[in-house]
Amino acid sequence: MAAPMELSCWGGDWGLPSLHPESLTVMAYAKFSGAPLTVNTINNSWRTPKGDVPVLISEDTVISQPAKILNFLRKQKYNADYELSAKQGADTLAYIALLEEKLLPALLHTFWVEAENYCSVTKPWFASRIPFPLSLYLPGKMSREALNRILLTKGGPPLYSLTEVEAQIYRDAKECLNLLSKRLGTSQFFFGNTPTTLDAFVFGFLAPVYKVCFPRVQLQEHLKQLPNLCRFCDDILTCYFRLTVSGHSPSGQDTADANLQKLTQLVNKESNLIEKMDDNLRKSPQHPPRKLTTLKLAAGGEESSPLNRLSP
Amino acid sequence: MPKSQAIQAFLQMCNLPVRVVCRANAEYMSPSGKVPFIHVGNQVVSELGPIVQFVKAKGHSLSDGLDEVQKAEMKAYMELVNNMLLTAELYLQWCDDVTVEEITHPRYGSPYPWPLNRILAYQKQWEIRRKMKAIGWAGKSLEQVLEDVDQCCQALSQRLGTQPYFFNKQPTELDALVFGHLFTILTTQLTTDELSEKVKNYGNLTAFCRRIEQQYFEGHDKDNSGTAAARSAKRSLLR
Repeated sequence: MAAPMELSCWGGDWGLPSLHPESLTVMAYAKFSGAPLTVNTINNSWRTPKGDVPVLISEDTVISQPAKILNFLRKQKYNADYELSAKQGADTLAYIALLEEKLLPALLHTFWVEAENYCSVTKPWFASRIPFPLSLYLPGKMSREALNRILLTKGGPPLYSLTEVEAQIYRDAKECLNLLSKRLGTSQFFFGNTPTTLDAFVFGFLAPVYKVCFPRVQLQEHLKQLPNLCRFCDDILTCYFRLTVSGHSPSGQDTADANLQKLTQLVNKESNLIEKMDDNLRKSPQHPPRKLTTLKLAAGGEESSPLNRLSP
Repeated sequence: MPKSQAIQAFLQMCNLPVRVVCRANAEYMSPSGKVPFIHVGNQVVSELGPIVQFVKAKGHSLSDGLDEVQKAEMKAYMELVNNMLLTAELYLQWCDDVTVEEITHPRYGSPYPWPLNRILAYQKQWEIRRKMKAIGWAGKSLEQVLEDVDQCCQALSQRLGTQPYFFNKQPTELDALVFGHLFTILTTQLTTDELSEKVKNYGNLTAFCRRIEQQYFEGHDKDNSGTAAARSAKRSLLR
């Protein structure tokens, strides 16, 4: 827990901390579980992105896929799923599979395959953050990989042309959005009032669709017809990323914010403890004062939902 | 094979009579190139999703009694099975060298003469490996794949709990799909037993499979006119 953790990922724009769904998922989970991550966005310096992004570096360990990064954070005791039941944990896995099978192909298509979107938005944005001469090659490679993945997983017969595959994946994505909306209903998060792994994944996949301004936006238009999902994204952005909905992000304040958050948590815990002590004293004044060890255990038990006190 | 079992189970659950026939050129007869498929009158429909919709259009549905949130859950769990179990089965069949050499190549190529059997088997293997690479499974080791299967079975086991079916009293297409996969895993002979051991760790899942087998397959055996190969290949969980 004391080892500093560094996350390398793609940066953000349009009001998002990151444009890349997987990077966004990891960042959201870190915020939900209170993990202290230093986020290094990949920019136009000579340090090029090697291999998969996002990448978590902690001392000598390098971990690269979101699921593995989240597992590592959980092992370091940053667990946002602490209060979930076994069945809810199972539901999490199922819904993540739904996102990957039904929503991800359309997301990849919107970003990397749809010609107008790719040429006017995605390629210039990514190219500006990769050093020359890789900027000439890497976006094209990512685009080809995205198309490959879509065709290999969704493109068999009876769908013979790219247009048929595209139609099918957008149908699937819209159905997936509808299912998510029904599942979320009117609650703040998917499992009650505290955000969990599933919220991180859904946010990671939905927020880029919701916020990035593309010329071809059929998925975004469909999403905007589901107000509870839009409200879900906006809530997380305002509560956890300190970004206003209109998209102005205070620059260079991430560490200050994290420190402030920690300080507020500590102060809240302290005041709660003091309240409890007062209550106990008032109720039974002849009881001997509690030993310090029991108080520490009580503090440890409350750590499971520290963010509860912060959410408005 | 898992999809055949799943579709057979689904049709039995809908109380629709079904006859199983084995053909070597089944992949070519199917409209989507994938087996199994059903042939009804002059219509041919393949794959579980379209078959479920076809049957629904004819007036039979297993999931009508579910509310919207439950339907969302059912679809999510079906994707989990497709995403993890199916991919793990494909990985074991086609990316694990030992299994490929000893079991998959001979079985896949068996209806064809040499050298066609080897060529087709290699072609299929190359196709599957390309797909694994695209979704990021090519870098996984066998242990990691088995761990993923374990995680998936744990999720299914927790969701099933002590109920007879996933959505309590009535079976749905999710039950058919899970049955199809688990039954195949439990009864197919591979080079190692690790995969079936992972499933056997969850008592409620094996009990679930046994229950569906007894209820929907035992009485229908004599109605099925399969070829001799199919009859000799008939396996059972109850031995």
